[in-house]
Amino acid sequence: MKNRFLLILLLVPLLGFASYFSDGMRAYKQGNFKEAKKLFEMAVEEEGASQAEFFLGLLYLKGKGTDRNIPAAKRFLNKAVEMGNARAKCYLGEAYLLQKNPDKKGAMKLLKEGRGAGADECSAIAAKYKIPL
Amino acid sequence: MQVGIRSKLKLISLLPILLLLGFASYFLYQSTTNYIKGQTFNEKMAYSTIVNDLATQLAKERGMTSIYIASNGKKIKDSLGNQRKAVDKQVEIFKQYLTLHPEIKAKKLVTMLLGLLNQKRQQIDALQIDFDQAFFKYYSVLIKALLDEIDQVTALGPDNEITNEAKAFISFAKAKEASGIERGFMSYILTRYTKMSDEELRKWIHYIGQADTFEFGFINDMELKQRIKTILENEDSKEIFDELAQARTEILHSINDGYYTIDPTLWFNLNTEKISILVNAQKVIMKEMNNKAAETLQEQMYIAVASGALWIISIILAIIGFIVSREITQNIKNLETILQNVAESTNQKMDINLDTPEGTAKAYALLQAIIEETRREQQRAEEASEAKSLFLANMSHEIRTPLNGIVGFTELLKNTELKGEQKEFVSIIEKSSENLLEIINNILDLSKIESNKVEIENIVFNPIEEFESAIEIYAVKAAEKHVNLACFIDPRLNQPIKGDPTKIKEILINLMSNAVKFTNQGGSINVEVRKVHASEPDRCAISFSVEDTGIGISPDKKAHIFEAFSQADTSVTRKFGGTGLGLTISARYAELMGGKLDLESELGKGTRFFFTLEFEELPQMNEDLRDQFTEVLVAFFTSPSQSKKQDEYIKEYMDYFGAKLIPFGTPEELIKLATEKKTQSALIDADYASDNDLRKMGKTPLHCNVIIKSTQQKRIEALKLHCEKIIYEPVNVTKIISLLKAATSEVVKEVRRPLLDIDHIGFNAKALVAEDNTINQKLIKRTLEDLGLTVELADNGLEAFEKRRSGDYDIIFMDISMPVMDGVESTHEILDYEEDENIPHIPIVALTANALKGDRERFLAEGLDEYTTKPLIREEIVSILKKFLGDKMFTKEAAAQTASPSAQKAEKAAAAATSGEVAVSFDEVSEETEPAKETEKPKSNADTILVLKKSPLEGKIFANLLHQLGYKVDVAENPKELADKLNENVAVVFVDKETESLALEPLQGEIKMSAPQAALILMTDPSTKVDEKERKLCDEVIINLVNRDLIRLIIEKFMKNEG
Repeated sequence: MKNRFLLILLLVPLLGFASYFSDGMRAYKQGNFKEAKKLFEMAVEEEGASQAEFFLGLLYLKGKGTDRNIPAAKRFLNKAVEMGNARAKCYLGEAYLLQKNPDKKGAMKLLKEGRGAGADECSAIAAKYKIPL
Repeated sequence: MQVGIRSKLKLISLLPILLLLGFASYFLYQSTTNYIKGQTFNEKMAYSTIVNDLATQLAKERGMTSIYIASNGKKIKDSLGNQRKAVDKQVEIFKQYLTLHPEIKAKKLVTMLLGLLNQKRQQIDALQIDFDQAFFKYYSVLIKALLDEIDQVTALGPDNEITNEAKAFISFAKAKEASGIERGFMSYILTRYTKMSDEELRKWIHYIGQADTFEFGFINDMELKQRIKTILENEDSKEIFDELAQARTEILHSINDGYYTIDPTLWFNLNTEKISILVNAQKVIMKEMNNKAAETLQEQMYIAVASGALWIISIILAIIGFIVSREITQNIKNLETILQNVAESTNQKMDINLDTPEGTAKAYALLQAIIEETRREQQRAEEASEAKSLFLANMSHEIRTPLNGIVGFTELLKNTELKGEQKEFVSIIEKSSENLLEIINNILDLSKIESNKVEIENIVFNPIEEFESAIEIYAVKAAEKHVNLACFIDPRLNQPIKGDPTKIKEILINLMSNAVKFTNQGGSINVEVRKVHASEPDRCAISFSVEDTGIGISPDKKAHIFEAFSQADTSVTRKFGGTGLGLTISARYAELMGGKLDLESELGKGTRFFFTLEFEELPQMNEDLRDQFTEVLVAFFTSPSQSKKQDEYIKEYMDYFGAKLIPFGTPEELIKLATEKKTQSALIDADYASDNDLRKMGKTPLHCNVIIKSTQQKRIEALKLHCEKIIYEPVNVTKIISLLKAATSEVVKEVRRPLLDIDHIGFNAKALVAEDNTINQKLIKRTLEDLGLTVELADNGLEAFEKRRSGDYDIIFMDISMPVMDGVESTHEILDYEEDENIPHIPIVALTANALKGDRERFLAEGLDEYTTKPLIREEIVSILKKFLGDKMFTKEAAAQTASPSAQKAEKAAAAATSGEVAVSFDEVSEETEPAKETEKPKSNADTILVLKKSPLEGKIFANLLHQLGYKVDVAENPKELADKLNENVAVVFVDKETESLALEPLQGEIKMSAPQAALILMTDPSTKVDEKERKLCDEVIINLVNRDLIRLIIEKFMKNEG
């Protein structure tokens, strides 16, 4: 029954959820980061969407659709972490590693917490930066 | 076994009531239960509402807590704090409710979990508890427990509709709870922003299923359904549901990478909106439920009250039914007992049992038999009563005939020369026989009344005259007893009225007789006859009252005084005599005339009998003397020591006539009045004045009137007063008028016609009397001769007719039952004769011993002119004679002058009192010689009586009887011997008709030859008929009875010249 219910949900035509965040997400997933960044900024401003900050942090961290800006990335990611985004911990950890004075200890702690909360990215980032977890 | 009628009756009467009672009880129970149920449900609803609110608030706290935990205590700390306060408030309400309603027990799980609330919050604040523990293991469990609580309490509503609504309510509550969980759980996931584990995904899908499952299709109330639909399906709601579906889809699409395109805040708000829709729907349902429950409750209450009333009514009905059925049963039982008694009394051995149809039929048959028996008995009784009445009437008639002889001859005997003792004996005989006659008359009257044979006459009469005459009758007796008799007859009664004067007089006489009888010496009797207001203008009501100062009647005896044979006291009868029938007869008469005889009495003080009758009043015929004597002044002697009612009456009379009374107390005053010529006449009551005073007053030159009692006559005579008038007590209208007239006219010696002065009346007329009985013949003859008539006798109707043809008479008295030709037949003959010959009619008066109802009418219809009963009453004869021979009437005043008052009879004195003149002596007329009879034999010296009877023994007895009577008797044994014994000395020959070998004709020839002076008297059996021829051969035919008087009379008749 639950599966049938799920099926019904999936069959609902994907009309696209009408919010800056959703639009931003769509743009993000299509690789249209500039557009995504703009939409996320709008989402933060207009909708108070907390996850938009996570994605803005991610965009600044990766330098997608904008220049890499670690402090900005750290600021946004920190907010996402505070909110409870597990993934944000991994990326904040990465930001700690990518900043001018990498903070391995802080990064390790965040990565550990992120992995504990189910964020697989943390393991990947730890492996990438050879940080033993 | 057969069911008895009584049991059936009980069953029929009680079963429906019991059924009704049963139904009513059931309804009462049912409705009461329903009411209590409804009330409990209402309480449960209130509880559910509180629990529901608590659940809602807790769900909010849970959602906020999930965000709080996800953000490691960094987010919405303030909001959570506020929400916790709201929850605490709701918990407080919940707890308060529970303490107020101890009957509701919350589940232990609920109280336990609520108790943990603060502990859990602390753990949350300290972030010592992970999301799963807090969200699912605590809050969700608590809320679920609360929802179960609601589910449980509202599962059974008071009716189906409410139950369904409650179901819908629960359904929404569950959906809401699931939505809350979805909201919180997914917010947590979206906030965490990592891929969902399989476990998490399964949970989510589980809750999605629940969150969208709300059912309300089973709600019956279409309106409510519509309202819910409106809430769920309006534009806003639709949008929310659509958005929620899209959000879920988006999340599902991104579960693979965990990059959810839905922001948790958005998700949270969206779900919150959805929940508020559900809450709204819930609220609507709850409100409706509350309304419905209240309504139902009220309904149930009405039903409960109604069925309670019905129950009470049926209880009352049951009680009434029980009582009634018991009464009916009791009645039937009583009826049974009565019928049983009846059956026993009629000597029928039967067992009455009304419980079975046979028993009832038996009872009916018994009743029928009894009814028939009663009818028969009634008929028998009626016949017996009729027979009794007839017997009484006949007997009294039979008794009256001989009694008539006794009375008549005693009267004759009294007037012969008797020695001292003999006189006394005769007067005793007279009194006794008079009493006997009165008793017999009373009995006859009563029997006539009882057999409804009394007829009320309606003749015209002059009331003053009639009533005065009735009262006068007792004047002498009262005077003899020294009783003051006062009489007032309303002078306004001067017009003739129509009624039955005889009956009224009889009542008055009866009452006065009693009054005189029971009043002692010195007492008084007041008779008042007054005109009173009548109901109609042309009628006249008269009240009669007779008052005495006698022994009185005790109240307990008053009731029975008018019943027959019930004089107040049997000792009274013994002491005063009388039959006691007088009052009974009077009361009946008064009743028959439309009045009611009544009395008031005080024991020892006296009695007043009174009654009122109405009469038809005839137009004025007599002169009204009202105020006609205004110039008359009468000096009235009064004495303060004595006061008689009569004085008041005299004043009243005088007032009416306009005369003035001047009272005076001493002879000197009168003399003064006389000298001053203030008055013409004086009225003095001899009772008040001494002899001396009377003498003095008598010497005045006034018209001096003295009122005396008839017994005082000697005293007044001895005084030799120079008196204008002696007025005998009681003074009445006539006497007053006479006095006043004398006073005005100065004509002193005016001859007035007395009212009923029968002893002074004579008639110059010739009468024929047809009567077969010699005794009666003699009596009637004597009575008529006393009245101055010349009388001729006829022995039978034929003779009467022949005499009428040959002679001329002024009046004929005709006996009805006579041999040869009876009175009626004879009357017919006479009338025919008169008509044929065209000669004037001679009035014929019927004489009969029959005094039965209808006789008068019958005889008048037969052509007779008047009717009178035997024995003859002088007054009656006089009134008849007056009626027919008024022109031949004369008064015998001259004869009166010589009579001696001492020889007067009491009645005569009474009559004399009326007139105020001295009465005539009876002696004067009693010794008249009888006129010669047609059949009379020539005078001779014959003194022997010859007797021939059918047997020698009879002859001897008869001879002995004659011998005892003082006659010379000779007996013959056969007709031959009789013929031999005839000689000139034989005066009378008695021959028995039954004697062997008797031939009347030759015998008569023998008598004519050998003893022409002798009379031949034939004696016959009452049963044998005597033919006309035989009758002509004999001088007299008598019934063969040994009756001394009769025989003596007959012998005297034929031997009278021998002395």
